[in-house]
Amino acid sequence: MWRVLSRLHIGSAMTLAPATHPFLRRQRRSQGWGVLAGAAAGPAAPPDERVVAAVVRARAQAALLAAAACALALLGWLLDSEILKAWVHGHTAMKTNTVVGALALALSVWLFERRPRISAVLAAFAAAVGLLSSAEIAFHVDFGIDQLLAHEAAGATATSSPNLMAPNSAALLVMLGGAHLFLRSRLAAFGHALALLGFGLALLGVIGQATGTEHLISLGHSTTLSIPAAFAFVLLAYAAVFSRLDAGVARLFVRSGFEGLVLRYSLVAALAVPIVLGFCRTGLHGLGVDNQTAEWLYTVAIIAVLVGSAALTVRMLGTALGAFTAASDRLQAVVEYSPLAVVTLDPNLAVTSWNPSAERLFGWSEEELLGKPYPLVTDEDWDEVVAEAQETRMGSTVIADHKRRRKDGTEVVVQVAHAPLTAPDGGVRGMSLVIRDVTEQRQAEEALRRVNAELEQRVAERTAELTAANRGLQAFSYSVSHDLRSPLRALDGFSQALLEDYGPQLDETARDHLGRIRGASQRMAELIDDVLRLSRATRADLKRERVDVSAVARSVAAELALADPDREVDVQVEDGLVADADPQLFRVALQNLLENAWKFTRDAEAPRVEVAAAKLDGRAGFSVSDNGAGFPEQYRDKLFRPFQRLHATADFPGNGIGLATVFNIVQRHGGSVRAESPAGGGARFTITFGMEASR
Amino acid sequence: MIAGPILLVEDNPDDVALTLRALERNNITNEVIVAEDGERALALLFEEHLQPALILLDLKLPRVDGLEVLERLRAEPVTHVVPTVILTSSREEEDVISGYELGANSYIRKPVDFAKFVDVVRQVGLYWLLLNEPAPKMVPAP
Repeated sequence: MWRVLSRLHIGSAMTLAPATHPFLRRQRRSQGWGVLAGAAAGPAAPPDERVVAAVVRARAQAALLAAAACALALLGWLLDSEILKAWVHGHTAMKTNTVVGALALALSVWLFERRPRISAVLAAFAAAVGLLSSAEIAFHVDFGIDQLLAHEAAGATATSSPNLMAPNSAALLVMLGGAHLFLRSRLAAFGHALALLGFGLALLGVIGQATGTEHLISLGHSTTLSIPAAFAFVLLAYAAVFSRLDAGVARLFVRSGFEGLVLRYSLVAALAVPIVLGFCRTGLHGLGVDNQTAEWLYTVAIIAVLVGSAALTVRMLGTALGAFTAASDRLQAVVEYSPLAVVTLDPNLAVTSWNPSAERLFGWSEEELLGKPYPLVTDEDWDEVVAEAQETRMGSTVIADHKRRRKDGTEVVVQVAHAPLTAPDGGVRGMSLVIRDVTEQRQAEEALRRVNAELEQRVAERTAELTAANRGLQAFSYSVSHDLRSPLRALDGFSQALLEDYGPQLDETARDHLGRIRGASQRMAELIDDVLRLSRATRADLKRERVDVSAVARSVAAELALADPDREVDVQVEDGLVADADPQLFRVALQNLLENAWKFTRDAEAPRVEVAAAKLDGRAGFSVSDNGAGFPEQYRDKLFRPFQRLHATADFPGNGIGLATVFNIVQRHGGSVRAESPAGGGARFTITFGMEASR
Repeated sequence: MIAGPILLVEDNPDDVALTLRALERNNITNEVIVAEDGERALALLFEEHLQPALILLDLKLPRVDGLEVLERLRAEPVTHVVPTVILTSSREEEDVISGYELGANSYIRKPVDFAKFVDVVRQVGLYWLLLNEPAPKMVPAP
């Protein structure tokens, strides 16, 4: 859509508003104008590749045609054929030196890019021929060069001296040869001028021939320009004008876009119409139509051609305008109903359009603002806007957040995408701003950030508290392990000492009491150890590794067998069991489970403990089961509470900490544990360790 | 049996009494010198130039604790090869690790059961005073 629009914008500089806007008189703001206006003289529209190709092709064809005309003339001189030399009976023949010079020029054109040096030598040669002949004509001298190639009898048609070329031909050889030479040098502009001048002169010759206008083709008593020469020179002059397409008129001619198109059409019309009509008029003369009628017809024909071309142009413009209107309507609709505010500014930063969303967002209507300065920028923000305008000038799109004031003074946070509006010649015609209201979004983000920060703060505080508490607990358990055991040792040690030293003096009851004191202190010591283990399970760092469950189970079972050699328990451990758990805590958990199984199978007939793969809540884990005493199902929930016992100490000694420790360890791993005691007896504990453990 | 005193670093008089009893029970006749805190132990070693055959070191001590005593005596040429056995109540993993890192020869937890304690003392004495070949005597420079 923008392509269509921009192609139709002829003359980009036209849209630049003059720097007379009142607010631009303020020096700081006029800075902004300067920034954008500086870009208006950008690079020209690029050449149209198709036209360039056509022109280059035509250039070669022109050289070829000119060379052909020359070759025919040369043949004519050899065969002494008037038709080949002059094309029309009773007209001047193309002189041999003209033929040679024009041939050299044609070759020079042909080789212009391929063999620049040879091409230059040929051009210089043609110019030299032209110069010598000019001197002969001007000073009425004969250097003996005219009859070098072929002899012409004296008194040939419209010829001042035998085989001496026409002054037009001499001048054209000099101009076109010179043009070729200059076009290669730093004086290319001069070369262009020569080529154009030559083209004009050659064109006059052709028109003169076409219309039979004597004074266009002959000067005084000198030789008249021949038809083949006029033909060859107009082609060669065309080739010279278009020998370089990167400068001069040629550059304008091959330009893409409407500008180049119009120029090309006009040029073709301006050249073709008089020539064709001129030939027609000559034809009418031949048919015996009198002069006045012929003039009338000629004038009418010219007017008809002009009207036709005007009609054609209007039609073309109409089509383009239709496309433009359609594109413009579509764009208008997009802008009109866009939920985003869309604003365009001219290089003075005055408003050129202001859509309804912009009105809703900021409060100003388009009518109030058209041609007025962009109202959303305060003096403080101006530097920022200039900076962004500068970026825009570089052709980039800038998206940024800004605080802006509405008409009613309230503040709004907007996200603005600045983009340059470029002219076909690459200059900047202004800028477009697409503006989104992000106030709520930013507020929400800000709130979220605040909440996050608070949360982090709170987490940090809690962590610090927990760390302190943990440290306290650590110190406490350290002290417990040291200080609580010492008195127990004294109790046990001195009871033993009493028994040993004064045993014989004590009666049975006294010795029994001392034995009880010793037993109690030892149980107390065990209790302390278990409590410490429980606390360690709660606070130790968790280092997950792949643990070989089968190996640990076998090793624990071996220890149990060693500590209690009197019992025989059948321990079955499935191979290949693994878990992802902290190795030390895992061992403590498994030890507790196996110790329990060992303990509670005491009264079984054939004690049996089994460690096997099992699933719990769809997760892989393993189970420890035994055929021992089991536990009453209704107390299952109490099983994992610390110090909770389901058996009398007299039946099975214990302190109720082991399973609490297991529970703690499993929970810290994010796993779960389930205890079952089937009606048939025995117990089964299934545990998982959070992360997927597999076989 | 290697002659020379045993340095018992222990602040709890009950434990001192029990240890002495256990040594006696095992017929270990070496002189036992008791330091009731780390400061006293260091003074005995470095000021009174005591050259013990074995050091039994408790960890939780007033003023200078057992690990610091260990560190100091391992840093001094006169004492750095003296067999030192940590004999303490706890088996906190941290203590065990630090003990070995600072160069303890052994880490033993005092059992509550006196019979077991007597057995521990017997084995320690047997090993360090009888089986183990000590390093040649380090004479402090004059």
